[in-house]
Amino acid sequence: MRALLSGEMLKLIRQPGILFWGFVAVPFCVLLFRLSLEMLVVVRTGRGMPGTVDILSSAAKTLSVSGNSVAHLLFAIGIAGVFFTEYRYATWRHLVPRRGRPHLFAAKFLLCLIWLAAGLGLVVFGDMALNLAVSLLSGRGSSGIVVSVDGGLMLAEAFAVAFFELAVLTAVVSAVTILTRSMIAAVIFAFVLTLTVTLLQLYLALSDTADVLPLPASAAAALRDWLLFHGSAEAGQLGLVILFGWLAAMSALGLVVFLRQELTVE
Amino acid sequence: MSEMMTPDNADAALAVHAVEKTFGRGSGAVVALAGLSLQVPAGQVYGLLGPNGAGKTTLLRIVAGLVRPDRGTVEIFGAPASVASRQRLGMLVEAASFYPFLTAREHLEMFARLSDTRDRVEPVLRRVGILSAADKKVSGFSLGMKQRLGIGCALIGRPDAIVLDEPTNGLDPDGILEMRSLIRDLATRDGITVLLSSHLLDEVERVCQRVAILRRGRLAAEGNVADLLDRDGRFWLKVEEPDALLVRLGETAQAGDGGIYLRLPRETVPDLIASLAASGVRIHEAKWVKPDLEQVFLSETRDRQP
Repeated sequence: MRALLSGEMLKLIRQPGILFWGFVAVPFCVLLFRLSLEMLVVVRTGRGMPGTVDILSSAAKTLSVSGNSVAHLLFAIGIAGVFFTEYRYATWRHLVPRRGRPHLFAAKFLLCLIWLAAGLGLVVFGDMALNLAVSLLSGRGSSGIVVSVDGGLMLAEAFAVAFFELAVLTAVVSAVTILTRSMIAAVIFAFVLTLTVTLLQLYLALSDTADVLPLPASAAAALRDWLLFHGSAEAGQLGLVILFGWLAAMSALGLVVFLRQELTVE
Repeated sequence: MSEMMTPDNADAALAVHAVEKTFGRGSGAVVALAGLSLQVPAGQVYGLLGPNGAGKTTLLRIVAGLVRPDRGTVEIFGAPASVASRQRLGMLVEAASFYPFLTAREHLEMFARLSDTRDRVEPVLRRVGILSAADKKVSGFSLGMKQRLGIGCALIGRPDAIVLDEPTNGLDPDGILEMRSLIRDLATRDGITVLLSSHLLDEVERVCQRVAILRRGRLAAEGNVADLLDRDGRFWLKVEEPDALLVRLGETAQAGDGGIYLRLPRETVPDLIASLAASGVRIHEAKWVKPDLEQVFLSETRDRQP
């Protein structure tokens, strides 16, 4: 598996477009957005935000970007790009005789998870670095920031939820890419799936956290609300079950389709 | 097909048993392989011939595990085809396709890691003649260089047998000669079995010891190249009054090249000459004419009249 994974890593690193837009653009945009917000406050008020900031809980809140539909669109580009490479360049013929299809599927899946985790790590690191920089630049030194155990727990939970949500996205996008042998189809499907939640919530006048739809974005929102903001435990647990269901079903679908796929052309 | 021409199963590097494959359903279904069986003896260069649509590529994709047969089995060195048994095979299936953003060296290193043969990268680059371009991205490679890299990828895992689909495609004349020499070398020096699928009949005739001709998913002919050529040979006679002899010999005889062609077993030729001479036919010239592989190929793959 290590050899397969290092090969997949090399292929992704050599495709900087997919690497950037798929896995780095979201943390980069989050950092840019937060920076713009801080600068706006400074420009309007002549000073930074008052009070102290718990940098761990601040980073935890920023991780809710994993439920953003545009973030899903960008992450889906990265995930679909990883799986679509072999179809695009007709290179399954090199890999399939050398390794079992479950291993090939797992290596790509794992690569996506590694980069998504790294992306979330960048979001956390960026947010913490920004809070620290703002505190230092506003002349408050390190007194403008605090680090608490609760904040650390919150960050760990937020990271787990965000990672879980993106793992479900990986399962969905990989299955659709394999099924359709198309990157565009997978990206659009993932985007529409996330967008559907927002539209249904608006159309049915549902609460975005208490009323859980059987869709990943809704389930993740309920789970996040339960763990991070003391929301409904029932909705949160239901969200957890729904996410597990999507992860298991879509991973199995992707794997089974790939195992049975006739590669007459790749 | 004569049983005598088929090597023992135990000696086969690759054995295909009654493999069937149909694409599509209903009236639009296309039968790619219709119960094909053949055996590639170990240590030889084995040619796979057939017109477009004969099933060659489908067979190779089944061997590679890219396509599953509807029925039948494939064995690689006596073991059922699986990921483990395919480790003994190196494959260049169809046109060489690569990751354009990687270099030739990176391709070989990546595949070498999978077979734990990283020490082979440099020698393989040298052997297939792309050492000087090893660090260039494949997107800048000519078709010939891609073919060489494809063969390099097939060789990198230190295989016991390699399957090459049109390996000289896109090579210049010098490259073709080098590739033929490499293929012969692989079999004679390294003891690697080579299954060579090609449209170039002349190439197969020069390189292969044994050949299979596919037609509509079935085995149309199979055997040693020399035997096949001998089997399809004809006897040519130049005689006085050929028209009379043509009538006398009937359907087995045909006028041509100023004489008469006869299709008959080679061992019966002395008796024929003796009987013709005894019956007063004056023979000016007589010779056994061997066909080339193209003639054998055409006779085996052309649609026969009902």
